[in-house]
Amino acid sequence: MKKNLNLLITFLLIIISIGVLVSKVSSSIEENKDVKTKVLSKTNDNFTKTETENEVIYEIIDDDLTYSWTFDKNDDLKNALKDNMEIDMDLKLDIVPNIQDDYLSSMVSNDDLLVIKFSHHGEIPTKAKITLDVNDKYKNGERLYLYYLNEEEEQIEYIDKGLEVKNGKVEFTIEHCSNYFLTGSIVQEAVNNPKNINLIIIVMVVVIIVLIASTLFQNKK
Amino acid sequence: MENINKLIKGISVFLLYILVPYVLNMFLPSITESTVIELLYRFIFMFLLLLLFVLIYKDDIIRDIKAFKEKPSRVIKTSIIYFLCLIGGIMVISSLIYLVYPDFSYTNSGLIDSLFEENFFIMIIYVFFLTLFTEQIVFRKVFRDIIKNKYFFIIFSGLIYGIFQIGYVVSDVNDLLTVIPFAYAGMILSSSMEKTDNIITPCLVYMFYDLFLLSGILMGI
Repeated sequence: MKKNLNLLITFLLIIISIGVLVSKVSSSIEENKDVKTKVLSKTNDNFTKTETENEVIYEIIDDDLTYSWTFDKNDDLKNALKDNMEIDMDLKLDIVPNIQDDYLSSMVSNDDLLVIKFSHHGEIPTKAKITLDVNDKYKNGERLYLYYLNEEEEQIEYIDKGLEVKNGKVEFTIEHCSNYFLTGSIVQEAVNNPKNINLIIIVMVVVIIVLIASTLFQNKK
Repeated sequence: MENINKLIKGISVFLLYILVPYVLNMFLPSITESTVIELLYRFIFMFLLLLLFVLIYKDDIIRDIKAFKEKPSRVIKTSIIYFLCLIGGIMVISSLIYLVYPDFSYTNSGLIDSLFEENFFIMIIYVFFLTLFTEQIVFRKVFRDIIKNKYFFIIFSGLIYGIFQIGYVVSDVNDLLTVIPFAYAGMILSSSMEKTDNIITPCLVYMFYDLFLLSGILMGI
């Protein structure tokens, strides 16, 4: 028993030491990260507008990049159309397969990012569902996280999770246009993340309490 | 005193099982961009962890191996019966969930599938060897040693096992529903251990189940 405990403590100390050492090394690696990126061209846009009973869909084929905007036919959209939203609002977006700038790479340690940059910045008249071809980056069945890069506040904000890649495409809903990114795993540096850490702690505490209670109960017997 | 020793051993093993992968998740993505190398590092650390767990429960494991050698038919027969219960139950539960919630998909299935596609052999060893033995020690051996009531042991260990399989994130209905089939699998594995009082039984059930899934992957289902 004593031998096992000694072994356990030694192993824990090794793990903690390695963790501290590597986190220091990793921060310097992150600073020097130089990722090659490919920004897709915005020229030769091909717009297709389709109206269904409940939705207006704009499909855009921009060289290799295919994406679509879907707006619900609600009052907000009707008002926007009256105000010539189609003319005023630029529906183009660019995707960048990896971390492009030092700014983002200094804020996010994930290395599987797909950055989405909308030409239009700011509010949109109504919620829009974006369908984006991510075939080159993610596999079918992968579930992605969506984050918003808030440059004013200098923070990453969690928007959505569980966005499943189906037929090489992913769908997500936005309420304003700016810079977003998709990733396959949670971004620890972001704000408003789902409460995953809390759940680990809760489960851990519950298990330990139950195990202790069971032991005490046995001893009492 | 014996109960206290079991409790200390059990809590140490359980905490290490949570902390080691957590520490690995923190630093591994930053030291290498290669998924294969990251997986190899993970493999080495998890192997060391398993080795430590085996050392901690060395006497009990040797006892179980001897019992298995003396009467292998009992363990094998029980394993086959419980494996069939596992397969049948998972199919029924999944069908019921799809019936109630048609958009259901296993929370981490996409990620696991893509890992298998990219690193098939490493993943086979990882799942067939490391995960198999580590999970049986943590969720079966640790809990059984401390919780004496067999029904409580089966339900509690199964539920905790289910929660751990979804990666600690519960933020939507899909995540919650994913817990159900995994918790059922955990309960079946715990029941098989309870039935034979031998850790080899849940290991065999798990192995049969993995083989079943692997044959599905190989056949492209």
